[in-house]
Amino acid sequence: METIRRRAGFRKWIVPVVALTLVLGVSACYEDYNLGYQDYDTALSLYDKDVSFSKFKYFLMRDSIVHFYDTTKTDPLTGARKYDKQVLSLVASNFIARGYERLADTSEIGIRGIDRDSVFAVLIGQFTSEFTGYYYSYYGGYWGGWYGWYYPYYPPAYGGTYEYSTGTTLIDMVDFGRTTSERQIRSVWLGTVTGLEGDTPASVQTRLSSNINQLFIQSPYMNAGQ
Amino acid sequence: MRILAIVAAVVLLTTAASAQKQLLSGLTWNIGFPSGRMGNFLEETSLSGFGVEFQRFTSDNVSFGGSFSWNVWSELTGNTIQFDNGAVTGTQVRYVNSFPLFLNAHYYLGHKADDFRPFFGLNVGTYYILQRLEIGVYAFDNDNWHFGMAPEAGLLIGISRGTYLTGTVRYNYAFDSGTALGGKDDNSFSYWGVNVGISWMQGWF
Repeated sequence: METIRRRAGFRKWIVPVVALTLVLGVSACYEDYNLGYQDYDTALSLYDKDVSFSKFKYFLMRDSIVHFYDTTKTDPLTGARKYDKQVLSLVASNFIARGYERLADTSEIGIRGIDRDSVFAVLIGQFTSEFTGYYYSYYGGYWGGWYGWYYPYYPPAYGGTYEYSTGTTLIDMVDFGRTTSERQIRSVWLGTVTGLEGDTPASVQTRLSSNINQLFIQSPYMNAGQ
Repeated sequence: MRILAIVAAVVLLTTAASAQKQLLSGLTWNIGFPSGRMGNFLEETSLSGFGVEFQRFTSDNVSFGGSFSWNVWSELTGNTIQFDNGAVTGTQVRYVNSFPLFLNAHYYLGHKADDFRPFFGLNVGTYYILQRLEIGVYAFDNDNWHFGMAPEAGLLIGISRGTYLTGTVRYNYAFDSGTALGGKDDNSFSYWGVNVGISWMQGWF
């Protein structure tokens, strides 16, 4: 009799316990990190491992930023011109901080008898990219992102379209000596900063500075040496 | 060949188990602690996971069975990722989803009437592992089937007739398979699992 009572009691609470276990297990997998504009920024740097960056002592850099866009349309980056001075100044100061000396122009190479192989040129460009698509979110976004692999097989609980634009600033460090002698652009380092468009100007300024500085922080090999 | 081996094992286990009526079924909440190479990708503990188990006893002390489980890890980090010819920095969300599907064998100490029964076991089977790295507006996915095994030790605690609380510690190791997300050779995964739950003797839940 006692056994039957105990088993009946067990059945009363076993269903809620199992349900609670499943709810805890499943609901806990949803992670809302509440990401903002700055969380979609990336600072990517690539370099030629065969190049010794201490061979360079001088650099050339134009006081302008090139915009890459379909010239049959209007420049989508016109509004970004207000950041040009900031970007140019920051890039130049970072190279100077690494021990490189900025030359006024190419004529200084001849006047001062500078070895071309010790000079690099800095080219800065910007472009935008647009992304559009459709997203599915099964069970309201549970499963921490893995639903992305399964969407062809499950009817979505809800979905929608997304559309966003990114802006990219590209900093190219070109070996001046090799480029002039081989008549082909020889990049030795490339830094790109990419972020979402649509943020406030003040925030864009902060993000640009932070990410351009980061490109140099993560490139410790870039140094003029003694 | 691997599939044939698994099918053969299932047939053997089913045949061996059919002579006995002792079926232990269970549901567990699975907690996962990444280790080794996987621990380099993310460090957070996974509290999101569950497992479904069944075992048939062929004697008082020996059981054979199978299990399916799932764990997901997610982590927010801003660490710089270094690679051969560069580096990238940005806020990242890193995910790993692991779906182990095992056949297993266990040895239980004591007698079936005991309230406390320590046990040891070995799980062998496959892991389906989904790895994802989101950085900036970019996302990189990598999913592979891995052969794997998971030795474990645990304890059954009787709470009423035929009903037990279970707790196990399991070391999960999924052998190298496919290409690693970063393009490197080794794509093995390992993590420690602490699984707690309820089991029922005789009958499905």
